[in-house]
Amino acid sequence: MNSDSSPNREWLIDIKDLHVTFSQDDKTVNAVNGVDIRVHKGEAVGIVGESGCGKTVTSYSLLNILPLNGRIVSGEVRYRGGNGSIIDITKLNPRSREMRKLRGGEIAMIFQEPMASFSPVHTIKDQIAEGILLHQPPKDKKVREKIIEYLGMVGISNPERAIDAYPFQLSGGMRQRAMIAMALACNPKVLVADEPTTALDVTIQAQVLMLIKEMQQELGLALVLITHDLGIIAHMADFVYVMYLGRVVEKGPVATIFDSPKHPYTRDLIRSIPKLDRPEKRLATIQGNVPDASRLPSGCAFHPRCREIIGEICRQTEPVLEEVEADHFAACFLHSPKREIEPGTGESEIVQQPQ
Amino acid sequence: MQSYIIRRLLYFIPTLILISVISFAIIQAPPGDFVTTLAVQMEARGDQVDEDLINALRARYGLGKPLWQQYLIWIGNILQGDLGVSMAYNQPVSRIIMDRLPWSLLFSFSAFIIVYSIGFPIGFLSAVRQYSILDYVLTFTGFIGLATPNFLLALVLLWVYFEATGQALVGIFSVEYAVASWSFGKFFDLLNHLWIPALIIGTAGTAGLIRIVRANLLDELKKLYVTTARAKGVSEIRLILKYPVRLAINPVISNIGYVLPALISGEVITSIVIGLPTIGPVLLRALQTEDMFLAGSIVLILSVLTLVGTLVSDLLLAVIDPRIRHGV
Repeated sequence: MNSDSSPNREWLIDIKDLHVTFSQDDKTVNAVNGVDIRVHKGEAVGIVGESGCGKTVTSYSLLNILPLNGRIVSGEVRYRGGNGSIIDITKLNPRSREMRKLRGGEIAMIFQEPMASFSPVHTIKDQIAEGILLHQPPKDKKVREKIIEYLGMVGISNPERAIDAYPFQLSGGMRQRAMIAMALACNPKVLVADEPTTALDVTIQAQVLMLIKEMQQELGLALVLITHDLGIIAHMADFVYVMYLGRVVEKGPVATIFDSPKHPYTRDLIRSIPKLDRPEKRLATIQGNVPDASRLPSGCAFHPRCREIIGEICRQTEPVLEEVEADHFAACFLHSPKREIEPGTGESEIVQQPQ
Repeated sequence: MQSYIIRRLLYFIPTLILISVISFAIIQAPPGDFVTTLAVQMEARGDQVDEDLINALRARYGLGKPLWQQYLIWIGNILQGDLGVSMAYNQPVSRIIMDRLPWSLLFSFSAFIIVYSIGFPIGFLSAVRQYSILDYVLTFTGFIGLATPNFLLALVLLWVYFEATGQALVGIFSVEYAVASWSFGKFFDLLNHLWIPALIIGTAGTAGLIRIVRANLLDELKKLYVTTARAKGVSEIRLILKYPVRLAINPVISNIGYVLPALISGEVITSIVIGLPTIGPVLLRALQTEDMFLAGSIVLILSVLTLVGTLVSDLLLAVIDPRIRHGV
């Protein structure tokens, strides 16, 4: 459905070889190390990985809203505007008018914690109106009516009252719905949702995800969904990027990724999804911890935790994404012809289990 | 809201009773009383100490009675509007206070204006440009302001003013206006004498406020709602003024209640150095001579100011912060 191989579909966002670093107490943390992501019109792209894999940083780079100690070192984040013009977001000054026009107006974002993402001392109306007045000052209708319309659209009951509420007067699910209304109110082309349901009750999570999916399809939006939860990806995304330590280690259409995961990391992630039909005593986990991003492992960054490590090649050479089947790419020597270059060790080694 | 205010005003009563008991006890704690101090002073001057006079004074001020009786008499008189007579000044306490309190309030209010009009913008700049050269310069200056004793600053400024203008900036009016009736000239002379003491009194408060504003604003700038506003495309200056400043202002306002009495008690040394007719030096002298009625009254008035100050800041907080208004 997606892809690099189908050039006839127009992309909206094209991230190329993105590198982002953070400076932290004299250390440089390599948060994103050469990521390529492409988002097409109307497509739902999922970015999945453990915390610290650079998925949130990638999404912040889309809007050029990295914190002050973060820096886009190299790479491109290109956006195709409505009139066909192509803008490289990394070249824009984060404070420039052009950049601010894109934020909210073209690319809107939904954040993880609806409580913390709203100012507690401003009303819902005040905070939603802000974006509307910046990007889509209505001519015919009053702003208030427009906000009520959007609040109703995202399923907030009694929007006439909710509009004048303060965020703390709404429940968590309602707050996240209001956040979605706020993002949609400026008619963006792309919706970026960064762990949109992590802070919500499990019962509410499904409803909010359904809402996001509905809105995406109804309004024809491109969706970039960032999550650590493969279950959510399975329901929401068309195309999946699996990230580990700032790199994309596997990408492909959602069905392919789940049916035949190629990268050992993706396999581990899928294995650790709890299953209702197979009661297990213990949840499967991925051995070890995510390494410190300021001291990346040599070779394949995943090799210290990999259960299918081949040998020296994994420790010394960095694998690149290679097509393993149509539209499905993985960065692992298991599926690379390069594996043959190193005949010495041959069989798989057993990695020492860290206890 | 109304019932809240009434409830808060009712809380004033037990608080004030407690403060009056404690301040009475502390003022009376040192051995001896006002008459003893007086006798020692007379002896030091080489005067004959007349036992009859001493006893007559004790009887007149009720100093021979047990402490709890003295306290009840004092409080009873205050409730009837009689603050008593100052033993040291030999004048009604109310007259001394009325002569001096307005000046104290004038200086404190000017200092208050200076503290907020200098401290807030500097703290703001310091936070928004964290770790810039500007921040380091402002922070450094702020720490010097915090660390410099008021009296030293007063002496230095007096000297600088004298060197520059050839006039001594002592007292509240220049010699030619001291007994003159009110005129524009006298008013400007007052303003001229006002700003240096106000600046001195306000220095430490300003430096403190810079730290409070900087720290709070830095906390708020990291909050997620700032990122949300940024992601909406709001310009940096507009979003900072609308969101984090609005939230960082809370601790600043809750501080107002403590700033008032701190300013009044902070002016003692400055007033002594510059020779201002304010209430601070009187309180110091009253405490030294165990002039119970005078000292007690001043402490009570300062307490009332503190209570009113905290009430005002609480009400302001409720006005600007819906979380407090709605009781979250």
